[in-house]
Amino acid sequence: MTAVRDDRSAFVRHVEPVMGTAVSFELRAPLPVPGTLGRAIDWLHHVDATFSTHRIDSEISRLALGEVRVDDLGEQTREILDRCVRLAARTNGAFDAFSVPAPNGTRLDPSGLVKGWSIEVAAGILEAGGATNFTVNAGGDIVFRGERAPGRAWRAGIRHPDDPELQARVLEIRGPVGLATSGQYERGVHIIDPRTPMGPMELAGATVIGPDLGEADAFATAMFVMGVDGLDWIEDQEGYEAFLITFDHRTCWSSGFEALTVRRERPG
Amino acid sequence: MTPDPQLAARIEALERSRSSRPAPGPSTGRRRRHAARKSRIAALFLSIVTTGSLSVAFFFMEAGAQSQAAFAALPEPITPGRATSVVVPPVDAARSSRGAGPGRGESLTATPVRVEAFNGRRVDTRFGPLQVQVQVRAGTGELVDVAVVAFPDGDPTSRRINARSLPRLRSEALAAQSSRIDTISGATYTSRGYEASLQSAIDAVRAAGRQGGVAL
Repeated sequence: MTAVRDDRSAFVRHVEPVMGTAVSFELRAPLPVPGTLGRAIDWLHHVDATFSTHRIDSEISRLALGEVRVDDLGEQTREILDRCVRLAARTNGAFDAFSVPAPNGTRLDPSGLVKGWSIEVAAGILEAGGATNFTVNAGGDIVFRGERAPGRAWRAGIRHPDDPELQARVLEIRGPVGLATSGQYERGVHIIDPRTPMGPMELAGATVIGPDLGEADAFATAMFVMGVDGLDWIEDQEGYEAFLITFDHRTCWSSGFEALTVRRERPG
Repeated sequence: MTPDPQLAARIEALERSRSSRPAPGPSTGRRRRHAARKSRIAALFLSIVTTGSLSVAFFFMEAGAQSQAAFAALPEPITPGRATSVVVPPVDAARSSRGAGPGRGESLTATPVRVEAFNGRRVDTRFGPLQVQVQVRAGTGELVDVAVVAFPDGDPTSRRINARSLPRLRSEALAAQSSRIDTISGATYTSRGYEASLQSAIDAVRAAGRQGGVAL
């Protein structure tokens, strides 16, 4: 952990490799009581051990492989599965943890909810320790709390699909907010047949912002599957907004999204 | 491994009963209204003015400088435009492509305004034909709405995207930005991918003790 202090502000930064990605913490003053960050990190490793579909011994893998029953699972795991069922209904099947190919060879993978949810819980741990201004970025899915500095919002970029160094949009965000993106950059838009029937290929990326990162994470996955039609759907999800990048490099977004956007800014 | 007849009938419909009882929700299910919601209508108008202008400007740029000048000269009718007078509720005009859900801010549309509509010249863009209608408030010439009356429809996917995005005026060509940012959202990267990500560069700079965002 790296802590840096100066006269005007204090902040903590930490990057934790966990859940198959890297989780970046940035905490601004006031900092939480000692041990808080460690508890948040421990929590993420616990989630990894319980929900990972890369591990054959996680609760989720054992359930999917028929080794345990739902009643044998921990309460949190059952709640997540319940929530997956409700999300499948809410997204008309566009987010369906029970019929997606999982790394363990089964078709049960709640990762699209678990990552965002676990970061949301980690944010709660940090808040319980006294932190009010921070971000936690789990491989591109982010929770925001408070501000970057008094009177200054956090600035978040949405990655440009072609170039990891560039942003498609820049947002100004004050917490509590979750921001999640689902996308497929590496395939490259140029090899996709524009006449591909409707489906995931319609979009290069789908970003969802809203009050809960677990939901935003699942919604982003759902929107990526829904394509541009998902804009109608997201308008009915209270508190959530979306930004889409199409396969042919156009962007469109839901009605409340514009208010978050920092307009064109090009450095000298 | 289990034979997976539809993942064991979706884990026996999640052992039957669980989903039928009231869901407690996870411990973190706090609900806060999105701050942006309050300014939804304001944002919509901002969207119309900025995005509409940008979208139209973008397409007209493809048509050449003459059209740009015509757009800039609003509220002059765009030649060879044909003006028609219509009465529309200002917000619904922009939201017309969406079903008006009950109780979703529609009360703000109570006062209709008289607007004049001008059809722009039909131009050929590299995606196909485009024709824009500009609606201005009668008398003041204030921009009320910009509607696309013809748009590129060369292929089915473009048609679907256009049907959703262009009439809403919340669509534009993807543009790259390079900005001071604190953090970046994107499709999930792996632990290895992180090393090559912009987020790792941001983290590295911050860890070195520099304040402020990364200027790139």
